[in-house]
Amino acid sequence: MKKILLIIQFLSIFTFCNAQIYPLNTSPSDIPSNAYIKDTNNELDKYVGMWKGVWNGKILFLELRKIKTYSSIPNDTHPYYKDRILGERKVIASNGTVEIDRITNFDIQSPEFSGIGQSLKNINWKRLYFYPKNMCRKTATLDITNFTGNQMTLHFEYLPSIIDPNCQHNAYVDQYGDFPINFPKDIVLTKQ
Amino acid sequence: MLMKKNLIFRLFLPMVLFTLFHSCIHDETLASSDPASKEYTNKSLWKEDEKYIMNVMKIYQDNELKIKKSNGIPYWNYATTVDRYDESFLIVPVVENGKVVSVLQVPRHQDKVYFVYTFSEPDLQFFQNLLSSRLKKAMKTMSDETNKLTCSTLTYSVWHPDSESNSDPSSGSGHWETYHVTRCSFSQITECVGIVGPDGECNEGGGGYDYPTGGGTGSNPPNPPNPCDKLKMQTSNITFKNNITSLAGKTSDDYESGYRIGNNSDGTLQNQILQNKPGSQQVDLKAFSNTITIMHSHYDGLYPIFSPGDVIFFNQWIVWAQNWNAIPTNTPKIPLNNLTFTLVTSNGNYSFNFDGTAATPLPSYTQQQLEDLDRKYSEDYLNNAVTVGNVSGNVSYDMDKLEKQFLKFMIDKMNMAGLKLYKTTESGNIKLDLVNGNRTATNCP
Repeated sequence: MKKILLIIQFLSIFTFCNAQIYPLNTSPSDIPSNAYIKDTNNELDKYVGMWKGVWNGKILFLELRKIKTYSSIPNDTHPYYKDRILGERKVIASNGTVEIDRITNFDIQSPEFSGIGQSLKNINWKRLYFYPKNMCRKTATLDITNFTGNQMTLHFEYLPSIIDPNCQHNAYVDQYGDFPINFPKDIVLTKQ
Repeated sequence: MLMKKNLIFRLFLPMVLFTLFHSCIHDETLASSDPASKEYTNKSLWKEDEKYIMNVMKIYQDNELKIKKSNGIPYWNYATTVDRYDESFLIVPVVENGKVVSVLQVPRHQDKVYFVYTFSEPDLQFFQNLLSSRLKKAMKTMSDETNKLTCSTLTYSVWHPDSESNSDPSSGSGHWETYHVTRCSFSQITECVGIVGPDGECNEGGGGYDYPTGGGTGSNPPNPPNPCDKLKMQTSNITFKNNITSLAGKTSDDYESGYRIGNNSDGTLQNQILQNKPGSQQVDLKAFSNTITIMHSHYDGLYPIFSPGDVIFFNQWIVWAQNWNAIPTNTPKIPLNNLTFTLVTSNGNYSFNFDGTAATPLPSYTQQQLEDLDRKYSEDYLNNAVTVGNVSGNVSYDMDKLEKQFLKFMIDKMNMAGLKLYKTTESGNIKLDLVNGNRTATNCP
């Protein structure tokens, strides 16, 4: 009997140690290393799915998934797990040409979209962060200015960056004041 | 009656002006004493640190054969300590056949003085005219406002008459011409183990000459400046303050702006606007070997504290400067601990500086790692400092919490030994640290 109790005790300690789970809004400063910031209230689920919208005759597909992430940062002394919304996109031109397709090979290690964060423009908005590939590490925010469950409106804004003299897009940027990012400034997406 | 009063006034006005005018003119006569005399008589237009001049004069006379690197004789009577009275610096013209052929600079470092011959044309001109027999008037001495003296400018004007037959400015025609000399004390002077060059650079090798200490202000050589002194030197000058005001007015833009402050070779500060591309939200954070401070703004809608990209930039700047210094032919050397990176936001201003001897580069991050850093910075750590806004939805921050989260983020994810974070306010700097997981703020006067 004693042995059984000991095993139960050991198992419960082991389970407890492994199950250091904290709700989504917990600061990493307040948790031990390798803990899990989990979507315990399933508040991310409403974003998950395939979203579709149209701009300038082009069709944008945005696939959002809920994924448990860890850390890829070198010398990270305080790694942790966290549930996030990660996303990839597909852009189809009006003539049917597929201009971008990252959905077919969804890259869960380094996707183009990540969230869900708090908008710093309006406290009532949530936000996705946009890390487009091959844009000289230029990044942007997508504020979700309206969300109804099957529709969401995204507003795009660049995040600032340091001028990279070696960026292959510099001539384009100088001509158009923008990167060839192939993404709308504003778009309404409908859940498929 | 009124007419009569006016007439008297008009008659007397030139006389009053003439008297006033002459009271501030220093009419030089060279004949009164031998300028190369071994006795010192202050013939400078300014109040001087005579004790330092006399001590240096004696050291020079005792070691003249070893020190002398140029023709001519130092005219000690015209030596000036450029508004310094702590036995730390002087410049003296070296004259041959009535012509100033070089200017000897004598800085003191701890208990040694160094003799450096310089040939800067403006300096030669400055003394040449000071030695002339023309009429001179000293202007106000300009000093940097910091109490840790940084720069001083001596200015005087010389009357150049159109005709030598009438050299009186009150009756003859002519014009005043202004001459000035500016000297700045760089922190390298106190750190330098060799000869301090004319622009404050440290040239290795070459011993100084013993300076008599004991008694007077010279008995306690100044302590090397601490990190707070160094930061204050960068953040209290008028150029920096004007830039802060300018950038504070740009926080409602939707792009970043910035300035780069550098040291000119004549000791003055150079201020440049950072090039930016508002459409694509890019700013050109570029540092040169003379750059001492880089400042930029974070507009509203960004976290009002440094970004991971800013941390990477500062690390690269320090490492680059360290590599620059390692090449012997590169001069002047960059004072690593003085480099300051300042951020201006609507919620307060922050500065980074480096308090270490050797900087380690941060990893060369891949795009995936950079995204991961950004994600954790934006979505996980700093997200927690956003507080409930007002009805219009405006975002506000718990700044103490934001600072704590930022410090924790840096320590956890991109730790750079020697990197220090300060809050830069109008009344000075405040050092921010994380001690046992708690934010601490210490005045850094």
